[in-house]
Amino acid sequence: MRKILFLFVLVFISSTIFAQKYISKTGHIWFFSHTPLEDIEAHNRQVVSILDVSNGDLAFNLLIKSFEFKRALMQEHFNENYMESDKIPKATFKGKISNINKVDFKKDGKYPVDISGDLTIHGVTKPFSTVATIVIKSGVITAKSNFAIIPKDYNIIIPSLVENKIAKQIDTSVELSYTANN
Amino acid sequence: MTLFLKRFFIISVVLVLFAGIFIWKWVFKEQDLSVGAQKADVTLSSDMLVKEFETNENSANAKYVNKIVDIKGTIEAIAENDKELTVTLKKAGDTGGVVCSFNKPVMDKSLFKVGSLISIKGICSGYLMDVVLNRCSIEK
Repeated sequence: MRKILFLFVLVFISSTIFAQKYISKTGHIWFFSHTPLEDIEAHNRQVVSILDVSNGDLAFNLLIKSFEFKRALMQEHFNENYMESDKIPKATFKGKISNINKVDFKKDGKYPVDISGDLTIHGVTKPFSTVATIVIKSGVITAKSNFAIIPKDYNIIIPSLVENKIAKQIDTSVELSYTANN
Repeated sequence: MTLFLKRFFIISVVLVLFAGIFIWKWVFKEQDLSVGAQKADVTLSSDMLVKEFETNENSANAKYVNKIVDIKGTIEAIAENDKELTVTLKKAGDTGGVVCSFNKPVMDKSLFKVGSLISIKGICSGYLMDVVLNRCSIEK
């Protein structure tokens, strides 16, 4: 009986220790394409991300169709011609924060982190790395990052007719706040 | 005669002012991107929709994505950021729910109450951990 109780307590303790997954369901990702001819901007505020603070495992999942443009026609072209979101509805990232041990999740502060892993856009998976900032403020974890995406790398073909209107490098930003997932 | 002219002048100034305000409001009003008046393609309960995506995502994608879906369910959570209001419909005990996004400032947070039953219409974008509906509006 005592053994069972001990086991029970052990399981209970370990589950509280290892429940270190944080989740965000309303992450914000947006991109900006600047050319002398046209500025294009789109926002997606439904990014799902899971962060395991015990080992730095990090995953992102988003729907291409959730990107909203200022003009409906742009959104249609983006979905139908470039991203083919009917065939490939999602973009994902699976990776790791390599220096997660430098972040003290119990102490307020700004922590720069290194992220690397596999980024899948338009069905093409490429190794990807970037830097991000994790901000801890009174127990709330927020994360921010900026990076450039080159459409050509992910077989996103932009017709020569509109080539001058879309930047070769798309400036992308992510911002999200995590809550504990128990 | 001068009195008539004076009155005429004042009335026309007032009229022009009103017309100006009206046009101003009309031109600069916040754009309502919601599906609003459009008719729903499918009507079902939120947990049925979730179940279909959970059992076969590909067939559910083909069936619902880009369609106007009218769902009925219980509000589990309400969240907001600078531009959007998200209302999650979920059946108690289910792992996944339906996340409905409303564009602000057209939609007011006070219209929703956690635990109440509601019908929401929106364009289905797909499935992550929850089914995602965008450009939503409340169905009466």
